[in-house]
Amino acid sequence: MKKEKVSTGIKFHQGDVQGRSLSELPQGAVRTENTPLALGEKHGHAHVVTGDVERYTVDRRVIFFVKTQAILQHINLSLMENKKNWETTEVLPVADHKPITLDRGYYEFCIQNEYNPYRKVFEKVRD
Amino acid sequence: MLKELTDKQKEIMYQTRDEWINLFFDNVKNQKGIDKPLFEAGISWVYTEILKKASPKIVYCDSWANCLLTIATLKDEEQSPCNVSVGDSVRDSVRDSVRASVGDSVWYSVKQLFNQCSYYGDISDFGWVAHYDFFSRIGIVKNKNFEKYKSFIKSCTFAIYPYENCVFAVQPPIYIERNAAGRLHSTTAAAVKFRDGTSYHFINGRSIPAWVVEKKDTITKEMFLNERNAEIKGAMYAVLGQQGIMNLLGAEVVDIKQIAHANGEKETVELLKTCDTFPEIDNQPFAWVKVICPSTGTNYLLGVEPSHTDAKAALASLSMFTENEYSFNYRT
Repeated sequence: MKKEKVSTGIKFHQGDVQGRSLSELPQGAVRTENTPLALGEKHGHAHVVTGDVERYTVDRRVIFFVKTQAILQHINLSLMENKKNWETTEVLPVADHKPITLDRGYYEFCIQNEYNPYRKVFEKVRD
Repeated sequence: MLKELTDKQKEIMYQTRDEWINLFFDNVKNQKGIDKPLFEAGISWVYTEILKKASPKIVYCDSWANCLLTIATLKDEEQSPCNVSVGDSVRDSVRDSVRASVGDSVWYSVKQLFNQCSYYGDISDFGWVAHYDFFSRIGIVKNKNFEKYKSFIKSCTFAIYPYENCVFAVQPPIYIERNAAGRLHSTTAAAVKFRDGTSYHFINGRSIPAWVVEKKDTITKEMFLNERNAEIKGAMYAVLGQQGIMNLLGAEVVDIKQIAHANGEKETVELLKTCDTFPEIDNQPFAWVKVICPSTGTNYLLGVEPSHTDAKAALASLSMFTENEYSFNYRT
């Protein structure tokens, strides 16, 4: 896993999603549609970033630019069928993990891994 | 000559990809099945315009197995009526069903030509058709036949077995479960189910026997230790989960660390390892870190590399952070 020096900034952990603030958008980042960061395996829950955001990917990294404010939310995925919920800065009904408010800035997100000794690889945790 | 894609073209590229992926998985999720008008128009176009033949009879099959069984039944009818690997009643039932659906000319032509099945396209063509669909959308590809072929493929026919006068079309599955990498995967049920009940079990894209998933509660330590097939053993590991494997094999705490988070919270993390080592994982023990979710209070075991001796370093190795960086401002 790529390790980058993080001397200052915000670091957060919500369920199996972790993230940190970045000083700038990494070079080569490509704008993509806002989609769930992680989907639960059993209960239809999902970690999503809602609000005034732009989502980017680069080298399998997921970056968000929060233009004004956003919320990292753990919700029932069915709520996101209402497209307006992707842009809300209000807290949606919480599934398990409380929301985390993100102020203007760049943020990188990743899913916590676990090691599979049979495959000798790190796999994303699914709750 | 197009040297570089514009931002708009890049947007269309991702849009095209997602539309094709969603076309299939939405079909599965909503159990839509084959779009028969699209498929029948496409088959008619292939036979009459491309092959210059008469439109064939179409037989829809509820699963791949059902389709192959149907074709095999027609084949074996010609050879030995008893020489089949499935029960006579099943075969008779399928044969009766097929005979009711197809006329004599189809019946005999298929029997005679069962080895002459061709290939004209199915779900496996989504990849390259989506690729050229993008170039079609940005005006690079302008081909009427491609547009007709694309429409035919969009019928979501899972597999097609075309013969001289008859085409067997397999309905897509009604359930598919995948892992984060997109591989077929389910630790709790069949990862692929067809509408006739035929189902297939997969762990991380590898086909496994159904019992590993369906009878996981009967797996014992002896069964695990004596299993010589590494694929099945790996599947047991995935199906039982970290807690299940630890309960099965037993483990001891080898290190405990307390993490002081930036928000003032303290987190205790334990490193556990099995006392035994296992040849299939390079004679190493299984190792886990145990953490507690701050929101739900649930204990979680996360597999770590067995070389770890420090609980915090082991936990940090599962994240984007180094051991020294592993301290959060927000934890929920």
